[in-house]
Amino acid sequence: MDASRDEKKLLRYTYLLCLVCFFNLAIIKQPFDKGAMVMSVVTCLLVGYSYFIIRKFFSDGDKYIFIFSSILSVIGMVMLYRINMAVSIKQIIWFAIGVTGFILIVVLLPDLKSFSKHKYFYLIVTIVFMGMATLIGTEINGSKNWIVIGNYNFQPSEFGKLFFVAYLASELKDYKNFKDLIRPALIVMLCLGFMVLQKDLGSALIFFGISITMLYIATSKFRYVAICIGLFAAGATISYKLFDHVKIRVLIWSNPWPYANGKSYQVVQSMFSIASGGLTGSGLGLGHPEYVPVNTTDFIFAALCEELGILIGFGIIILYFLLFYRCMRAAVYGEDEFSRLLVVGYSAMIAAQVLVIVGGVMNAIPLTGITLPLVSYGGSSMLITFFSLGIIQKISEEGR
Amino acid sequence: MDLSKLSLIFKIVIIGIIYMIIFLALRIMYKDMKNGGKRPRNSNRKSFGLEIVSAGNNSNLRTGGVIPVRGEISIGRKNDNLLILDDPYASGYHARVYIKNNDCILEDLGSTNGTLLNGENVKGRQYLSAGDEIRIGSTSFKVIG
Repeated sequence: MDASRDEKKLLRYTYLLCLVCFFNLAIIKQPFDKGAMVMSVVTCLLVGYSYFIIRKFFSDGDKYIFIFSSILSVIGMVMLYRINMAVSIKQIIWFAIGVTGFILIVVLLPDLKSFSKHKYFYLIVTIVFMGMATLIGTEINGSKNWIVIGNYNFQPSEFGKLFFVAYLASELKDYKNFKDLIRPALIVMLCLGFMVLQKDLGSALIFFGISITMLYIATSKFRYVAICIGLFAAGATISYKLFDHVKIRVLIWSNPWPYANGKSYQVVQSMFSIASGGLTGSGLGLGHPEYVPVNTTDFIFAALCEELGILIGFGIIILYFLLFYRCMRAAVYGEDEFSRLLVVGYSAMIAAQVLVIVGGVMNAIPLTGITLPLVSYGGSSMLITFFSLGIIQKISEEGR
Repeated sequence: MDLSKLSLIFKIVIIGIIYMIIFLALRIMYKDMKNGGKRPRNSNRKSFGLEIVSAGNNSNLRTGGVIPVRGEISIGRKNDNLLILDDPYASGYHARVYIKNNDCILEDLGSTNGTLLNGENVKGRQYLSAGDEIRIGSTSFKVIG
């Protein structure tokens, strides 16, 4: 029973983190804020109950995947409560839905091997989701990748990602020679083209990261990866020449200061706020994250760094790395090629998202607006991340 | 106590907890590496076994013997199976019996002559419960749990 003792210890620290952070938030308000304590108790109960279900009925799976993702969600929830209370209440609902989806996938999904047959279904769904926003999308915050249905808007490319990975896994599992790679390569190019047309450069970067990782794992030939990077460079140069929005992004990345009040306002504010936080931050509730635009989604990492310090920022990156390690571990012990590639694809998806947005917020790479998985506010992003983690959890049961 | 001192304490506590979590996680990773990635099996899980009801024409099996199921047992005619059947009606890799989440599962690996569970042909995977009878060629087993 050694393993479950370690898990429980980690879980106890998660509760402690949740309680301390929300207690801090409650005490800085006059009068004492009871709502924060209610939030913390609800979060703890949700995490504890889900862990109980997973451990009780699916004891063979890798439970650390869930624990790490809940630690990250707790950090996100604390920061959202600090910035905007209404958003954090919505976020806790999304968290509950995401965890429910996670457990439902683990419970209901039969055997993943049989899913490798529906290659053409994945192909069609991927292209439909990718193309949807190009044709009937609406532009929000400079990207034409949103679909608005009534009061609710979502990004179809987020759901497209799930099917994209499934398609690549089912296509690449039968890899034998170069000819097998032509069709997936065309599909990847088509998807990247759609993303550039929708001005969604962050997603394009993620799709490229996913496909290059899966390609290398499936073929283990460095030559193909080199060819891909060459093609990507060519494509990037062409789209730099053709599209104005790509040019602007690169311009404000190479030198943000002359446009600090205009085009590069967001990234300059984000850098100011990270710098003002310093090593240990200003303390919860004492910083000024309200100066950073879109601080609940894309720039939540800047807000976190300002109030809790760059040490927490590093901590979050390490936690993502640990989550990635646990996911890749499931791939190593996976049973067949399809489930292995599926796990690699989904974990590469999460890792690529983290790298792209953290790099963007710090102006290390051109800024592209995507969410920090599990931490920042966003219904579809939360759902997608928990779905993919659920599939990874399911696969980790099979391996031995 | 004024607010800035209080939040200094909170700041340090929160950073401490986060790094404590990371430290614990790294130690778990280290343990995991040292075990060579073998999953620590729960000791209180249910155990299953296969009792040989009729040995058919296998010289290496004895009627009444019990084969314990721990992890996975592969059944077939080829020599790299765990349970080798010397039976012309068994395929090279005939079937496997394994444990997942406290359930015992029988999977037919696409055998030519099929696997019978309680007299019915098995397609893909089937959950086993105590008392079920598995028949492969001339050999039959009873599941005990």
